[in-house]
Amino acid sequence: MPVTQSKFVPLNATAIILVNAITGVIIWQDWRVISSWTGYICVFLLLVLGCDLLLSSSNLLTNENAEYGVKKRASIIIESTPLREFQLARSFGTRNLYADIGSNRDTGGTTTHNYLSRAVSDISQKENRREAWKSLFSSPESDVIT
Amino acid sequence: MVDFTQSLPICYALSAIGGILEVGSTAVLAVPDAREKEGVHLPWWLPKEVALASNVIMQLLGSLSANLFATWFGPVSVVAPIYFSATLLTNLIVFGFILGLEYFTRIMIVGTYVIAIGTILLQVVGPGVQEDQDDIVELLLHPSAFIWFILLLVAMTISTLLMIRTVYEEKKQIAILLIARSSSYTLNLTVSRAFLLNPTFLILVTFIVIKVVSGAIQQQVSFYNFN
Repeated sequence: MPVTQSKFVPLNATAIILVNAITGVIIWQDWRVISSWTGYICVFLLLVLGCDLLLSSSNLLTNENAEYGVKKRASIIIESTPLREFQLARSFGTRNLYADIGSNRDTGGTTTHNYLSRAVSDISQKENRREAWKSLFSSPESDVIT
Repeated sequence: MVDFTQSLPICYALSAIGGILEVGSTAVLAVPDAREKEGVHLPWWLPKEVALASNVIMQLLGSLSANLFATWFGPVSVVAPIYFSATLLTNLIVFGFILGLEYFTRIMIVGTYVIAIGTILLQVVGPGVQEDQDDIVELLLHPSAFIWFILLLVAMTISTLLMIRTVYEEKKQIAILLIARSSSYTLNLTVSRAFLLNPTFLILVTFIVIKVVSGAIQQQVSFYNFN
């Protein structure tokens, strides 16, 4: 079964270069004559990355990366944002922006949107703004989440 | 034994020549083929037999240059990077820029340059010559060296048997081919250099066998890779 050449050729070069380097250190005692270990390791890293660039299906940590690239990032953002649950349910014919939110209190849901809606609705029903803020910050957590 | 004075420039040059000849050997077959497909007839003095003969000769010279002679003048571990770098760079220049037979994306061109620069830097920070190595038995008797050598032999044998016996799905097949190729290539270079380091008769014969077998395995890997 022939293998994909664009994958095999660079991987082959990488494997041979690395195995040869290890053999050089272990059998030929290259460790005695290597002037800079940091430089030596970095050069091999450079060679491996160069080989990786030659892969047509490169999986580097760039925006094109299949696992962590821009597509994945966008899909995570879309999935985690509850945009679908935002309902523009304000009735027409009134200037009170919170008029209908209060009536949705019993529709349930645990989203941030519902929590804020309810909190803001409570505030709107208070005559005194100071009392409203006090009520918001002093209300028990169990009360606002459920 | 013949005394070969260690020389890094000669080692690098022979390794690079090996890589260039490798690409050249492919080019002498590929170019006439491509020209015929374009409808350009080859001159009478350049039949296919000449192209084939040139291919074999260049392949042989390239192999001898990089896999045998280069290891006699410098560290074995720099031969492979220079060889592959020369191969990739020549491939890019000959097939991409001069002949136009292959298309290279910008990423591939950058990758080739990165490897070429890495190889140049390897000469600065990599291993130098070791004049005091003159006994392969002494080197191989170090426990770590012995274990690594045996490990390479075992890896080469098992991967070759697996490669011949069964055809696997692509990922496994690539892994087996890589193990077979890298272990056989490394053993090939290692025994090449060992020829000069006063081996006993038995070890010399063993190394010649390993050299021939590992060379054959490399060819076999290419065969399994494409068929």
